[in-house]
Amino acid sequence: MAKVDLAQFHRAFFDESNEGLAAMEAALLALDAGSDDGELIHTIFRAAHSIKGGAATFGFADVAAFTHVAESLLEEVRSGRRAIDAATVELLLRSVDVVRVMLERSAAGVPAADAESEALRSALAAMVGGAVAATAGPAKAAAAGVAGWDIAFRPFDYLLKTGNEPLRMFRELAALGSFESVAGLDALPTLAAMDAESAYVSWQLTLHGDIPRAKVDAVFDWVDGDCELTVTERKNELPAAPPVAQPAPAAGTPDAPRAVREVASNPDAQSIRVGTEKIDLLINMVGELVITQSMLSQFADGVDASGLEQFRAGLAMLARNTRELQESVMGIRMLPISHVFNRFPRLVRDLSQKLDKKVSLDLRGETTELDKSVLEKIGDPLVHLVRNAIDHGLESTTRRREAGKNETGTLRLEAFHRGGSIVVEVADDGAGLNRAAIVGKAIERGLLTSGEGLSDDDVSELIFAPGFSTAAATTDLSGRGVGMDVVRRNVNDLGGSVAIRSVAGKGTTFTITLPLTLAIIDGLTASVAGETYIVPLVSIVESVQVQAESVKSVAGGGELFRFRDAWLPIVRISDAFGCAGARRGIGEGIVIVVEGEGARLGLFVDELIGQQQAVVKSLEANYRRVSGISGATILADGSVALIVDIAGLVRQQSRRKAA
Amino acid sequence: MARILAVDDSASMRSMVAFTLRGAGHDVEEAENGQLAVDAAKGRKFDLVLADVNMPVMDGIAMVRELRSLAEYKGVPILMLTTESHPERKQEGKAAGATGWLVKPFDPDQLLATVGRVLG
Repeated sequence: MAKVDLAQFHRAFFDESNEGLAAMEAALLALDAGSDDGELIHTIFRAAHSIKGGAATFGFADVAAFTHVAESLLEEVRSGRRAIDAATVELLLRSVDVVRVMLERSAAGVPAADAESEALRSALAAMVGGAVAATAGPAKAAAAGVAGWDIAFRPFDYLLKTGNEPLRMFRELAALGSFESVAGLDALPTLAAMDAESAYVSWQLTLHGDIPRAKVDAVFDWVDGDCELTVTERKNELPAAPPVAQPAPAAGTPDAPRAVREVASNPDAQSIRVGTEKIDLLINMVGELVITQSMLSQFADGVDASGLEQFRAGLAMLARNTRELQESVMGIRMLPISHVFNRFPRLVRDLSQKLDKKVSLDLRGETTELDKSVLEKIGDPLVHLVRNAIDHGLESTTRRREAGKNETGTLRLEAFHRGGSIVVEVADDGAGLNRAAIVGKAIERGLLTSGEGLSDDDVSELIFAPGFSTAAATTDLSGRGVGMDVVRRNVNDLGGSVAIRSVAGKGTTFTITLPLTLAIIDGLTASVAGETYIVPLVSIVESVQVQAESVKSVAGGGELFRFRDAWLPIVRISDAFGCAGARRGIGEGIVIVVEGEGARLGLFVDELIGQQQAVVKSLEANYRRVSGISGATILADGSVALIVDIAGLVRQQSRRKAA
Repeated sequence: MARILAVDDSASMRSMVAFTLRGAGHDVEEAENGQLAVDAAKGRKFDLVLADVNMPVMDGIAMVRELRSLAEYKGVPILMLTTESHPERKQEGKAAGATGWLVKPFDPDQLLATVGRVLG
């Protein structure tokens, strides 16, 4: 038998343990908030119990030892021996944190326990009634030098119904030493009265040899209580006296009614766990299929024989199948945003305690699904926004009272679909942005010389400026060395955008718009000098034809054009990427007005081709990183088109302006 | 080769059990709680059921009771996966009609030895 390598199950163990911890945390917070849902404690217990069992099985002894103590405490609560109070919840919440760290360390292959975990373990153990019992059972000392065992075994009539089978047990005994059995048929009824599923025969068994008692007991451990059993040591090799036991009345029925514990049905969503690389491969394959399909469509457009009707119908079907397949495959990567939202009840609770503010968290749209890779990267920016909202957005309890507002501030986290995007809003009902403080800070930081003539939007934009940090007092909570500029950059890297809306005295709302997926984008195709470029649709404001008269040249070779009431820089794709033979006259081409990182610019291209979905291929993986290009895609004719990185171009532009 | 139903809400534990038993040539089906196990057992006759005790929706004890109420599962071996810290669960499982138990943590060899014990 090949050895089973347990390491292959570690990933699954860590994943499910982290899910268990999240469930535990959510249930503890619900208890903390005063919920009396009886199922909560079962959820918490089950999670701790599973983690302990898995940790012990897969060799993470420190985690197993820690969760064992937590489980003992939970067992007392579950069985009603202990009431759960705020102190217990606090201790258990800290345990969740500790176990999370211990799991991380275990995954990294370093010892999981440290001073903190040991201290908490002692605190938990002290809480558990009396000392924590050692788990090792009493080891039975092996009897030295026995000659053998006499065993009188009379199964109760229902024994066979429990799935136990005397014959198999005798085989186990026979494997221990020389074995004899004599069947006792005294209780055998007449054939007519016999129930085929009942046991009537008893046995006198003899086992010869120096066999430890524990090994004999182990054979009978499952039927203890389901039979009459006497095991006596053989002093000599004389035959033992025949058994004298009278047939016993059937003792109890195996399934006597007992109090059935009510288990609330919990419509746990079925989930799958698939390696991301496998999914990526699948997505790639579907991408190829999309290309093939558009190739065929193009072929159909070019040929006009009369027999093409069926071919076209087939193509229509192919198109539909492809789309459905694509949608379902993309769906595999989609996870509900609750995976990220889950951490906020705890965060908000801890923060509001620390800052002594009353905050009610309103989570909405938790089932909204996001691409896994987007989901993983959106957590940190959201945490930052939430910290900011509680720290700076919401006023102190006293201030709120003075302003005639409800003492408890509201923080709303909401996710929803809008068009082809996912929108996540972080909204507080605090004081709103403080215009004077922001302008003052910007001047102090050298970002501005005066606040005159700035619109409210301009002021809001200032908080996203690199090096800007609000707050009269930067607390350790929202500080953390990360500014709003990092939040915006992280979201931009995901192909999304951040907008801010603030009303004085009413609150501030941050709106993050994210693409549904990173694997496919909707783009506008444009040609420049015979090459095709793709501009992500989400970044496009509009496309305009610009007359040469409305272009202004500025020092350093830059060009500006008038768009509504602003002057926007023109970026010629041909200059940015060095392609010869592009149209030069501004009136001969098209300017696509795009927006990224809160700034706008005009992309000058020869002409627009159309709109299409593009399967994003990494340029970095196949060639190298090119500034201003976020990736490439394969067009219907097999040629490669580059996808323009709008945020990157905006950054380049602002660097040029600064230079 | 036996048809075995492995029931555990923990995916890692379940896949360890299933992987080990499949490696020994058994035909293993998995279920993640007692209710799904009962549904699976109604659709197909298994030679052995291995089930965790603590599970959401329907726990292992209730599952044994349900299975034993089915005519075709009267004498089929059902083993509970219990833990050392809860000896009382063994008795609870037995009272519900379980054949025996396997104490966690167990390694693949112990699992195969115990399964060998009931399959003969």
